[in-house]
Amino acid sequence: MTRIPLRYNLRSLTVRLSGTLLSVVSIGLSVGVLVLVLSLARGFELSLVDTGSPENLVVLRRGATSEGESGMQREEFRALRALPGIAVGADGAPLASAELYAAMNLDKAGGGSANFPLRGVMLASFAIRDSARIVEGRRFTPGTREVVVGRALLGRIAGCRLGSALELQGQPWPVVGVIDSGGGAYDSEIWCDVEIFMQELDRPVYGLASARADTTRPDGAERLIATLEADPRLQVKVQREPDYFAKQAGLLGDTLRFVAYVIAGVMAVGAAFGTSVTLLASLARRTHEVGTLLAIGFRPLGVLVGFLIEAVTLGLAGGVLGVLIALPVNGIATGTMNWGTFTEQAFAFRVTGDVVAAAITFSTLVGVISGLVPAWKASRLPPAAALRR
Amino acid sequence: MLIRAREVVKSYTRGGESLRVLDRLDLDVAEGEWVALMGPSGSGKTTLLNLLGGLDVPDAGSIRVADDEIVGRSAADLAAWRSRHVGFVFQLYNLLPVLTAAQNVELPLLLTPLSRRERRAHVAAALDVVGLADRDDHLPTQLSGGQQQRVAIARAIVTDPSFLLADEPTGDLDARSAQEILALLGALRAQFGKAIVMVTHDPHAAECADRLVHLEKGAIATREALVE
Repeated sequence: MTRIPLRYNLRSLTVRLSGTLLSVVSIGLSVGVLVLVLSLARGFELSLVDTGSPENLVVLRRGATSEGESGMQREEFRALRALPGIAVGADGAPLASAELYAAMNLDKAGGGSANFPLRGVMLASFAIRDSARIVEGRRFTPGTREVVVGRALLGRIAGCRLGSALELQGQPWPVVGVIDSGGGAYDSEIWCDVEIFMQELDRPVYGLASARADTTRPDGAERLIATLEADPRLQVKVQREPDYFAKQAGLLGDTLRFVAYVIAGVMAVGAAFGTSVTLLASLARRTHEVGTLLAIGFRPLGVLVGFLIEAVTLGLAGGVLGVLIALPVNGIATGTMNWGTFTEQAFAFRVTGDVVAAAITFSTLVGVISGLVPAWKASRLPPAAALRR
Repeated sequence: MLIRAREVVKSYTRGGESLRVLDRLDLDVAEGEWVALMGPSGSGKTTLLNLLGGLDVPDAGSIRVADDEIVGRSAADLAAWRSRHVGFVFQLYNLLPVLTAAQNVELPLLLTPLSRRERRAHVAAALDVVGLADRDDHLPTQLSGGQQQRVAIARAIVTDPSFLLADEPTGDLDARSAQEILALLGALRAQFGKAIVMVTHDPHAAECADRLVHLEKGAIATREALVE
């Protein structure tokens, strides 16, 4: 099969520029919406997925799907802490920490209020969840109401900065440090002493435990998971830290992605129809040109491919336009409700490579679909009849 | 014999009524012969031309070109055959408006295995033959009707086809341009020995041909050998 020269198809697109531009813009708008929502989903996922390391384990009560729902008795944690297979910290103590995770309502900087996650921790948590580093100030002092706050919260909670105090349960909680987990989930958390937090909430039990597996043993993490889940004193479900956050991300991320494709899909159907009509009108004007190409000896398949190329060109141009429309949002910080924990999760729009790839694939597909009917009709033209018109 | 058409039948259905355009028509065209097809509208001239060029298929009959039967081939097969054997010249030139003269002439060569350099040489030679070597980068809209028809003729001959089919090649031209095109066709025939089958309404054009074939209601009415 010899293709019709590309320049014929490309230049034909420029002959009726208004129709071409309308097609490109309509495809571009649908792709723009797709990129916008996909980058939202991607940014949200990245804010969670990048969190944690695989040798860290999140120990929840069996049946709990998130840290906020979990509960753990003091004696359960004592038993857990004594199990073999847990790594040992610099101070010789096992790297296991009891925690309590709860959403607390706080005033937002821009007005209104939202639920923000508070994580009561033991000091061991700083060694276990070490993707969260203190970048300003210091750790809280155990036994006090001091807190450290995630970097992303500095601009989001009213009055939240190093040296100020948060108002919780009618009490001032001094901010003594800032943690940075490199865009991860802890950037949106407030950490405080777990025992003080339990007192304030009047909760008799811990929420969950975190622990680091001793990876000097072969299959350390897997064996510790098995040990924990098999222990009859514990009724727990154990996940690796990144898996836990990936699952949290999946919930909203998948929903957002679904929404992205539904909205963009509906818009794209309109765009594809418009593009199809544009191409059919173009074919009607160029019927004798197709007849001429066929008379010269170009095959019907070549004509079909030529028209498909025109359609794909329109789609690709729309895809590029859509990405350009949506690109300015890249990096803009925002926040949303994390459906897994019902707390405010700070993150930024991320127009990543895979989002761009999805947009270009999508727009190519829109082009192919809109080109199918015109290309098929063009290739089925009987040459003698096409020349008569 | 270059072209041998036998018992060719072609009907069209219009408004539920079957119309027999060609009725068991026989036609022979010799190598290097210039045949003019004349006749009233609807007599089947253009239909016959399309059948000889493999643009359409007859309902019955046989068309052999250089001893190859072209009836019963697939569309793709016929396309390939056309690209090797037939050069078409149309009344309205049928140049692709977005391509330059040289690019239009190059089109049939894209179906050959020639390299880009060889194609360029062929295009230059063909444009030289029709006297438009200096207009190779002009778009069709930048050329006069006569010039456009010359470009179309260059496109028709650039692959060195077995014969030319011309459908009213002078029908849209003023008298002087028409005379130039006829002279060009005659020169091509003389120089390269190409057979030409030409549909025309113009008696002057018909006079240039070796033989006039008059079609009447889908059959050949009279054969009249013209004096050279």
